[in-house]
Amino acid sequence: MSETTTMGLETARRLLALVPHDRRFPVGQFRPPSGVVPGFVRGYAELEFVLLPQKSSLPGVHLERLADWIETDVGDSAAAAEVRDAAAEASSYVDACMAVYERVRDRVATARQVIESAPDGELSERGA
Amino acid sequence: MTLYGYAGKILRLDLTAQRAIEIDTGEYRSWGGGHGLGSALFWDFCTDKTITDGTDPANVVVLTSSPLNGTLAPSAGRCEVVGVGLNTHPVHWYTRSNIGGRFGTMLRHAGYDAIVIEGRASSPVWVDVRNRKVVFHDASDLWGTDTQTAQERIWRRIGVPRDLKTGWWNLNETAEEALDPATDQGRTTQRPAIMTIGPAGENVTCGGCLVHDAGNVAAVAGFGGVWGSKNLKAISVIGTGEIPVADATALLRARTAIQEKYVSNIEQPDFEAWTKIGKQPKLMAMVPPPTDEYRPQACQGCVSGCRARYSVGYGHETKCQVTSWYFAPARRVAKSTEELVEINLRAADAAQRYGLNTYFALTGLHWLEHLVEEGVLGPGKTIHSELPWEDYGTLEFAEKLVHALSCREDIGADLADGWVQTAYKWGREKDLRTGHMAFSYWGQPEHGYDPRAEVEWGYGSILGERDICEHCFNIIFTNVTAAFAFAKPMRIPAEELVSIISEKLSPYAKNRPEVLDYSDENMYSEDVAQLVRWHRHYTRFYKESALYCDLRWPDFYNTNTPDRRGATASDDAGEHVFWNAVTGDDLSFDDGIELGRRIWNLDNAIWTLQGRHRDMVQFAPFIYETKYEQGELFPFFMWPCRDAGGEWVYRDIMGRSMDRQKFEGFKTSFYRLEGWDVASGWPTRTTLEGLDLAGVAATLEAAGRLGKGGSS
Amino acid sequence: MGPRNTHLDDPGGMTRRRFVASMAATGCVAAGSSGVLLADGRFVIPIAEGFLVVDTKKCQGCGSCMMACSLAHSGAASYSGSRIQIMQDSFGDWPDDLFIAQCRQCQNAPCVEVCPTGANHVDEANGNVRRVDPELCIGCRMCIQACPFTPARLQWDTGNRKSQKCDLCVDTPHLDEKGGPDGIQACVRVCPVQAIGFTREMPSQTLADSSYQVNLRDWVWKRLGMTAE
Repeated sequence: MSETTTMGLETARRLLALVPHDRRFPVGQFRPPSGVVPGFVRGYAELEFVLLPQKSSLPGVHLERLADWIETDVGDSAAAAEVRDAAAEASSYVDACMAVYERVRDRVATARQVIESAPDGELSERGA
Repeated sequence: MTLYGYAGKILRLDLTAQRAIEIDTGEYRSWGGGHGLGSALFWDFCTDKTITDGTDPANVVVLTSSPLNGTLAPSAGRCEVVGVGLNTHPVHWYTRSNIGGRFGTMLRHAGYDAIVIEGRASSPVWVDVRNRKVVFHDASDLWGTDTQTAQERIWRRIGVPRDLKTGWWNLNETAEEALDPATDQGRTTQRPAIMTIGPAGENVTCGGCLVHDAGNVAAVAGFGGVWGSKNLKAISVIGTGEIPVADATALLRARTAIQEKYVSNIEQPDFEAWTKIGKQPKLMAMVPPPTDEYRPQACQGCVSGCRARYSVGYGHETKCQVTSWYFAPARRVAKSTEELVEINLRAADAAQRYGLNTYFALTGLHWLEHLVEEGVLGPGKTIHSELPWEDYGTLEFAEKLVHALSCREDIGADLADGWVQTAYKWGREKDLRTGHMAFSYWGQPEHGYDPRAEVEWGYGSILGERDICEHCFNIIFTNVTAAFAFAKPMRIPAEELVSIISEKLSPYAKNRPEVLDYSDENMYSEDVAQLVRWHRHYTRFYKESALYCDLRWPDFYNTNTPDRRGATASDDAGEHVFWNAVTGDDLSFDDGIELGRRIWNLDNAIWTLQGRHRDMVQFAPFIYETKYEQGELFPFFMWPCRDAGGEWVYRDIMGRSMDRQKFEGFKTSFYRLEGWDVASGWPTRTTLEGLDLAGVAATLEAAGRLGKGGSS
Repeated sequence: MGPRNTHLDDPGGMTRRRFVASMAATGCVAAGSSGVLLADGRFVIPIAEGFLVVDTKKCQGCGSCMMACSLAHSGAASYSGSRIQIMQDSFGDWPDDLFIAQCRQCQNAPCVEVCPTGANHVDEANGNVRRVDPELCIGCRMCIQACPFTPARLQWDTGNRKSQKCDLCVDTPHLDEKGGPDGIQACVRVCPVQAIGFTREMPSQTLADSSYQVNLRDWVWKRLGMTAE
């Protein structure tokens, strides 16, 4: 059974919504040798950009804490467990980020698909 | 007598009287160039050094070149700017900024080693400098233009051909002038180098930058706002002169040594080399390039360009933080990486055109977002703002924000006077404690290298007057952390790395690797104080006076060489080797450090006259009151440390705060080592006289601000 | 690592283009220069044995070549005194934001042909490089005007009131290596990205700029993130 068929509309909306600002998650973007850009994310879609594999930069994400954030603030326990597993099993931080990226990318894609296929599925992904 | 390495003249611009005055560079020769020269000129021509407002007409701004500009000394093409700035809190300190590109080189070809800007024009002016001919022009029709438009209009007025391939153009105003050897100004293919301000400077904002060409910016000090207060829109320099070099053969030989020994062979490069000078050209933008159709673009004389000009028509010459000031908001809106990149680079262009410093955005935008979320900031809120916050993340919002901040509109009316100042004005002091507003030192934002972890950065900033933005040791973090992230073997083990570096930390820390121990146990030690001293003195001379590029020097270690020793302090291509080849001096590497100490002491004398006291030398409260948590920036922050058994390891040093009392102890160590009064932090007579600065001591004494006590 | 010098072909051996077969047969030596005036009025001179070619798409605009040129020749740093000129528009779009003007060591060398004193001549002892002998130059600037390219590839030395031009570093008193077609060229040597090349093969003598513009970008360039096309 595909994720699309199992993910409900409410779940999809929650995954693409922004968490409140005070629940934001700190991230960085490390681009050697330029340095690190600090920042925060408030949702999965932003997180996908942070984790997106790039030739010359690395995501700055504390993966264990990310798992906690995904579980507590995004409300996606299944993904949180997978992030924990990836962080524990990967041979390097970069490999772990890659595994987490793939999971987040899939969750975002699925959620978008669910919303788009809903009869009255309209949801702004942009927050203030 | 030939003054090798110098144009030989310094230009004083009296804006009040619109008068140009020349003085001989020879009088200031002992200061070298760049910052040292600038501080000496400021000392002499700023008649009231107690001013703490950069907009005071008594303020003097000095643009200075280095003897190395335009001479083939590798990656030494920058230009220094000094004066009382607008962008520090609680005092507008005497400060510095630095700008790349062509300006320093062209200034020398135009006949001057420095320009001293004094007074205030009664109405907007721009200044045309051509081969020591100086003309003040009315700039009323340039006032209000962006930085690109201003430069292009000035080029046209001067008569620069629009088409690059037209090439040679004549600096003579008449045919007769060209025919007379005594008056012939010669020809050039080059465009005048122009330093200008945009609306952010014209409106006297603390974010006002000096901008040159598309993406060279002197930003952090707020000198654009100072120019705005002086009604100075732009200075254009062009010349056909030459700079005499003492030993061109030695200069060419050393340059060849750099490229053949220290730089990774471009035919078979080591893309992962651990080195600063030895990398191949690489775009230093914080976002991926929008296309592969671009060239690396370099400052004059650089061996490794770090910027780009693209085929897509935006993002030209912009790099580092400017390319990512809007990164986090744009991530929320972009639907693709391509869109994310374009939003960021166009937002960068907007800032460059307005001449606005975007460093505040590293943490400042999060603070604004926090206030919006809290319901404090927005339409009809306690802090009224009509900016379209619902569009936060779009390019349109970025452009409106840049406009507001540059033109003192909306929240820009407050923020133009300083972000920390605004926090107080808005009753948000608590945000300075929680880290919601991470402005670490002197009202300037966290750079990404937090004082609680990268201590030499934080100490250097707070003991000076601004975020240092000196990446001398920061390369350790970059190299080690990247290797750790990929679980790759370290190219240089910790023990060897600190050994190699400390070989070059002469004189205070030579062969003392313990100064590079960033552990909790060592971070307040006298060892680290010696490291910070060396750093302050090295940068004041080599980086800010000789004007070697921050991103390429010092080259401590270098995996391109068989013994992994870098070019810094080397006999074949060290910083002093190029200096000597150009100037004819017989400067040892240590002599340069000592000259840096002299300059650093003069700077401290100026701060002391401005009211500096050790009690003021404090980080923002959150540095003491909160921990730098893992994951705030990156999940680990790797530096050399000694473990419990005394073995050198690379270790994550996140998770700590700064201890206020121990920091006080560190300050005492530092002041003592510097020969300053440990009670006040003021320079002492003994120290100043030892640096041939007796006159400075006398001035401090007359002001009642000469430090007590002896030397180190 | 050994010395790097972007020589694009085998430096040895005589090529067809370097041999002017008709020279001795029907002509006569033109007064004051190294050329031969043919019966049909054409002026023929020996072909140079070296040429500078450039990749304007690769150049990083650092100006190092200009500094090296003036330093090697005169011992001073000067843009106006450089035999190679890099012109840039900071606001222009790649690749039209930058142009490199280097002497082409022309086959017919109008600058040599017009020189009334033979100062601008073919240096047969140094690979037939077209050079200006400052001792003979009277500063008439006819060579600069005769250069068919824009911008002119010869420079006016304001201080000495003479013309000057690229000699492929034959006369470089401040270079401690042998210069010229059989040695190094300072601009080639210092270019950090190898955007200037030296070749013994004479490029097409069309008036178009493109004949001396080559693609010097390779896999390294591509790996660095920039197009090699």
